Amino acid sequence: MASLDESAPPANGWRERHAPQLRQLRLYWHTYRRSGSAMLGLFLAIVFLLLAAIGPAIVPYPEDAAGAVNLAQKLQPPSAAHWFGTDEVGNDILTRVVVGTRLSLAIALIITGVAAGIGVPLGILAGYRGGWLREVIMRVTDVFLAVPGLVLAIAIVAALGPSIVNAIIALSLVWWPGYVRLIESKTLSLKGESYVEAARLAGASTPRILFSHILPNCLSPILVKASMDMGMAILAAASLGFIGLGAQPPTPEWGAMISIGRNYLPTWWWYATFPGLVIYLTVLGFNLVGDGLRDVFDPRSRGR
Amino acid sequence: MNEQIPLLAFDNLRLDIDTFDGRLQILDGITFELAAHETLGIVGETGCGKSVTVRSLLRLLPMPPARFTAGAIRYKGTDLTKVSEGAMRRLRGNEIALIPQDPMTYLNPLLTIGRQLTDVIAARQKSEPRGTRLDRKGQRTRAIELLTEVQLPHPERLLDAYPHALSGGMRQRVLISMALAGEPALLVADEPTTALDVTIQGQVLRLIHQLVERLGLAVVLISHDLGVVAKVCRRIVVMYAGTIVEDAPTARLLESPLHPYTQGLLKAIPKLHGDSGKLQGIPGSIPNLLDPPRGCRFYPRCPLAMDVCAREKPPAVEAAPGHRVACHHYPGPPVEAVYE
Amino acid sequence: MSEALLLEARGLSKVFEVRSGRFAKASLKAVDGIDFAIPRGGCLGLVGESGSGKSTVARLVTGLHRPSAGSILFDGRDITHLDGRARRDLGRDIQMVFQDPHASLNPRKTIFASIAEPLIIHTDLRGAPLRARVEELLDIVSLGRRFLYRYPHELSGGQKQRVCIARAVALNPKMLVLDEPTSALDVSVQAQMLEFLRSLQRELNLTYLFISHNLAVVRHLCDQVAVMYLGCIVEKGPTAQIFDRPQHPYTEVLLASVPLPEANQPDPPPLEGDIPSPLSLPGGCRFHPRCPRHIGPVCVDQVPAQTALAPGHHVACHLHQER
Repeated sequence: MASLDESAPPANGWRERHAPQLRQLRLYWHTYRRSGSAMLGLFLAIVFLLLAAIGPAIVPYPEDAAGAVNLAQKLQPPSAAHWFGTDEVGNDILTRVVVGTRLSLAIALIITGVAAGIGVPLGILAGYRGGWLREVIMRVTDVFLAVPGLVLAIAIVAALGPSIVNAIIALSLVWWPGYVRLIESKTLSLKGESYVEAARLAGASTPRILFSHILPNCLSPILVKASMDMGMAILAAASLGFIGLGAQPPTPEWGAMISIGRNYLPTWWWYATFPGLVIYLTVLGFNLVGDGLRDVFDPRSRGR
Repeated sequence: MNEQIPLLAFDNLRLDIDTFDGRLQILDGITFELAAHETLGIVGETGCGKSVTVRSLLRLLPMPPARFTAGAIRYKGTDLTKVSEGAMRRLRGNEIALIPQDPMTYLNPLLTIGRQLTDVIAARQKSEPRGTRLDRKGQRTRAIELLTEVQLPHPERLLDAYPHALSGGMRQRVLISMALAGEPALLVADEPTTALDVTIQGQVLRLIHQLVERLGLAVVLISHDLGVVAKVCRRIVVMYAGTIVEDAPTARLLESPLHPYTQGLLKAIPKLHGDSGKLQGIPGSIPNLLDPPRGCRFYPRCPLAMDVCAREKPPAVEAAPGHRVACHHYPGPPVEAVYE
Repeated sequence: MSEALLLEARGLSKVFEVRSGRFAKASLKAVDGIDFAIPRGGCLGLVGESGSGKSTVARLVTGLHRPSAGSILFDGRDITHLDGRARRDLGRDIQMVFQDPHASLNPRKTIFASIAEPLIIHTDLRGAPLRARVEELLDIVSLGRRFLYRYPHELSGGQKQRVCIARAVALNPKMLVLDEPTSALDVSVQAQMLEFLRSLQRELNLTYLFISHNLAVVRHLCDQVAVMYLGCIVEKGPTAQIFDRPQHPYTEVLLASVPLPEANQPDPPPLEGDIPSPLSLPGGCRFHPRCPRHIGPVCVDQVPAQTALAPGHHVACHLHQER
């Protein structure tokens, strides 16, 4: 039901012209805010994004991030000077964790970006074109999906040699098929919409239809999946780091830190615990954000 | 004058719904009565509140954010707005049954027709005393009886069929049979034929007509199509923007409508036979229910509007025997609204 | 092809391959060898129920589907088999308005963007001249300038449909195919829309192919009508004549089944069963299993030919072939 004020003068300010979009954003925010868990997730995500952005500039012991050796301070428990304690070479764990935040989030962002960048176009092509192109794309996707992701990533990194860059490459290669599946089915459903038919009738070329009609309507599922993927990518990168196939010491990567810290359990518990805790919190945060976004975009939960 | 209490009576019912944008005043003083064995049609266009009215009767609306703010719905004397959910559940299906609009979405695609029908029969049996309940075989027999009642061929075979194997008309008949399973006193049909083809619609309407005559049910039929309502119902209620504007026997309403909105509606329908001339629509659109007009809700679009119409809500008056209108022109001589 | 005819279809057929059961493939004959013609400036109504093929005909004429057999002539040209480029250019001459106005507009595009799209694709108009043309189109469909930057969900059904019409006439087509354009609209809005379509036709010199299941609407707008059943045209000719004195049994039943806003209507003649699935069509005359005036084996075995009862009025029924 749309009842428009028939007498409103045509306003041309930016705010008037974009009033419908602004209202839509406010509606999204209102729906998002209703979920306590989504707000928690948002808080966590923002905290970690801030840490990634400005953390390294405000850490107490910047030289420790690069692995300065300070054996007199080694394996100190958490204290006022070292909130998270120190590791076996005397580095402040808090500093390393904070610097590691930037690293982990950057890795996750790149992986998600590359995966979406490959998977979304392929999915749209497969869904829209159909025929043999779709068969080829979907079967290749199936092959990738059949192998457990982490196992495949390990194999790729082992072949290329352990390093952060290779870990990113490996994980991106493992990640893109998920987007293909999602976008292919969304495109299939969008293909039958009347406005797409109308565009074809108007003479729109296929690229135009894909960019102008299909892609914008795919953005919501992409956004939801990308948020959740951020968390999972962090976990995956940490897992690779844990088995020594990602970042190499002295780079302060969370997984690598746990890998070494594992050996110091249970007496020097802080070494493995704090990196583990931040992994847990970041993944939780992004997962909750993804859940919240999914509820926001679900047309059934939208208020009028 | 009939001394019995009516089967169903809406008494100045007001219903609001809280939404993101504010409080929608969806129903504003709905009042009408239905006697046992009577057939009533509710017509109106999109947004008039006809579906909301019957759903509030069956309490099928989520009760917050919807709220009754005034009035009552009396079924056999009991105010349904005040009874518990448990009592409503006992009422639904047993006393008041609903035939919904789209048969496909109301049937479970994974269960056979027989299974769905016997489930309904078994559920209805719960209100019977233990000793008289039907066993599995009895339920199956009853299911076949019901399918025969709605004139479906080969009911025994139908019991093992799945919904997708049936056509739209057949599915709707199955839903009607499920509605009849509880032997209700009141049948509510919400746009029962809108999703069906014309020839099938004709058959289903004929079926409903015959069932009503044979079983003596009371029926409330909702439709945006005046033709459909005219076919089955002896009396018609016209709704606009959450209010009842006219309430009259079918023949009278169609031949001499009194309310400007009803007149506009009838003039907008093209004729199947003969020349319709220039069709007149009703310019404008329904009011914003977040901030409805203070007086008559049709006032902004009414070609015969007077000053009083903007200030005061028109009371429903009996302009002729059995013929009620809510318009400031009545009581008075009949007016004729011309649009554009 | 005579100068007076804008569109002519001959022996038009469309077969779809569908999956039937688990592995088998079946042929769905949606349209089976139909002939019809629309004179310039005329309005042909195509009526029928589910499975009649009327929507498929609409899509064949506009080029959204390719015919399996037969030919379509438009303005003297054969448009049956067109390749990509030519098909896109056909959009300048034939456009379509779809049934559901709520689904016909991209929810993420402004009204301006939706109307401007055909102009951007086919013309060089940009910037100020483009905006001027879009405003002109809004004027033609009687929508105010304030709708330019609104989104579809802010408009009512009738307003959305007008936007779709504005988009359809943007390139000054010769013909509009209207697929149930008023089915989703309320009666009062429908009345305005029908009058608007009438005056638009005169104003812009359009020819209409009007698809509908609502017979009264077709009576009001279309001077010619073709009644379809399971892919065949059973009767066609002047609307008033056919509706007042239907010659085909199906047309009779169809007309009798329409519930009219009148008290005490008679029940329509009983019709056996439901519309058969287009996947398993009856032999001979498609209507014979349900026909109340079935005359015998000839109905079961032979497909009735189109018989001319009067100039321009054709029926496909054995009852009339006997005479």
